[in-house]
Amino acid sequence: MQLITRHNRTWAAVLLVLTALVCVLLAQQFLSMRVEEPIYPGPGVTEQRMLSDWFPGIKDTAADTPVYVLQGEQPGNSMLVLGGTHPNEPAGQLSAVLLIENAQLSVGTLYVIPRTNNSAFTTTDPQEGAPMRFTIDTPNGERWFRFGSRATNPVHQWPDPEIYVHASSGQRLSGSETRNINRSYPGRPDGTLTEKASYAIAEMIRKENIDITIDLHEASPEYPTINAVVAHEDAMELASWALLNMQMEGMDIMLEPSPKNLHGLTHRELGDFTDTYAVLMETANASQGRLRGRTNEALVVEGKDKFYVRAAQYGRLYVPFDENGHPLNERVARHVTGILQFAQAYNDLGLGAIAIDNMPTFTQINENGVGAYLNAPGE
Amino acid sequence: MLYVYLVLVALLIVNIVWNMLREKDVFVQVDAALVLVPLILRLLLIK
Amino acid sequence: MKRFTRILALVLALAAITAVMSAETAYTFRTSKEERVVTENGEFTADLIVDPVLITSIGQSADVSMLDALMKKVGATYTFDPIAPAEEVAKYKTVIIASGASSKGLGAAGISQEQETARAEAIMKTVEENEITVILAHLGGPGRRGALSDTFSDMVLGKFTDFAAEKEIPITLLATIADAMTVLKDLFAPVAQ
Repeated sequence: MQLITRHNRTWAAVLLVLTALVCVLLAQQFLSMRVEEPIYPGPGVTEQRMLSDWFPGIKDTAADTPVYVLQGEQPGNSMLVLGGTHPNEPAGQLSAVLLIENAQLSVGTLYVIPRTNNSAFTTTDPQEGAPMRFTIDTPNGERWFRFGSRATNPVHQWPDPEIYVHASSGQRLSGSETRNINRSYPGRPDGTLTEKASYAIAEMIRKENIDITIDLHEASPEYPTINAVVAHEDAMELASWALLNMQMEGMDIMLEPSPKNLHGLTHRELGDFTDTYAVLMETANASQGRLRGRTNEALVVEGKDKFYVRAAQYGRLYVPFDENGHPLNERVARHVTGILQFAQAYNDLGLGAIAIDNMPTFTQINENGVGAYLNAPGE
Repeated sequence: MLYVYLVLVALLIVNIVWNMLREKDVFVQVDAALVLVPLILRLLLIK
Repeated sequence: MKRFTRILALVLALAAITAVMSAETAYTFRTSKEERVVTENGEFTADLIVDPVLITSIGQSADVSMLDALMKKVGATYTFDPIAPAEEVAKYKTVIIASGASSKGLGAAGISQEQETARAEAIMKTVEENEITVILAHLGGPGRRGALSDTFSDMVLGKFTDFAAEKEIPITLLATIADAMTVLKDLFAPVAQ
């Protein structure tokens, strides 16, 4: 079908003006994702630093990100919690925020990074139809959080290569994985923005002698490594002990060894290139799965999806999935419980001392909701 | 490499606008306008 | 008529596929929230255990690490070697084998599936020749019941409630891995934690 006119230049001018208007409107939407959600540190936070303090190469870049330090009254060992490695896996970020706003250390030091891939929070993944934000009800009103992308924003690191070659191992992956921070460890000081970010984290672990590193993730219900802990071989004993403790608290959770031939992940590379006990935790997130229905805020927060219920009935999933779904409350409860049990296991095994107090239990988070433990604005 | 790609995007935008002004079929002009949106946003490093 | 036949065949095929996919498993879970440990065909008692004891894995899933943690928690005395070869197994009187396949585990241990299969065959020959007591521990739950895992379990003893019923040997079923502590405490001298 054609519409031929003699006034083509006029039409072109009109369309260009409309294009400019659309660009302005869209730009407002996209740039709004660069506004950071507020976090209100609790009394346990003794210091707030930036990741660039340990590697100045990321200063004034999108990779720089806040690090919250909770130092205990008594000296002891240390733990690092990485939330927001993949910002489309919100339980990781929210669990980190819960620690920042509630935890108090009596022994040792806790480092928390709520937005590990800070750049990835500024965009969503293309063609996923994901919401930009979600809200959590709290007794003091709504708190909002961004729902970001799995990878660094392409406007911060572009173009992607055809093939991504992992620097230290030579492993070859799809070019888009160059922006996945969890394929970039241990990083490089002169690498891409994503590699610099992971290098900064590795430097922080080495310089602070961080004893345990826990990377918080989520996965789609059809993914086999789910409701699981993946542990580096050096951390296997610690992880086993922690898992038993979690099971005694009513959590059904599996243990997987970190594969030696898959490179770039925290549980492999941080275990190999630093002295930290490196583990990763996964929970079930329907909003990032391939079988999901409408991707909206409700799916992110409530975790209910009728298509996943049907898939579960067909035996196609690796987690149980019924009409109750897997709400964010349950997922955050699992992560928080895991973190606390890792600290407890570390003590029980006589490896060192770290004591994290004032955190809600698995049952409390499930029953009262995450919002009950988020601080009021300005608190 | 980033600047090379930005120059490529800029050239593409100029090319599309140039063709839009010369195109006589309005529907094709609309298509061109649609294509311009993501290119402009990428040139400005917004999206 | 030909088209009708084709459509009918397609509908029947789709119905059959749906029926297969919707079919419920025949297995009935014995354990529950109220009854977390269920033992059938006899009891697990301490006289089953003869020192020295070895814990090993067939399949190299991380479940063997869980078993190690459980044994530590109950204060048992044992040797832990997930990749023990048959000649090493021969030195023990009781072997607890954690069965369950994991490609990640095999890769982490630097073992191929073929090598693990050969090792399993050699171990089972050794335990038979030396009259070593074998306890099969499958702790991975339904998630650790793929084809390879089941093959390894069959190589050790057999799959699970059906095999135990047929051979009339004790089997304990657990609601969670942590519940294994109840059984292990009965088997090994309880020690204050």
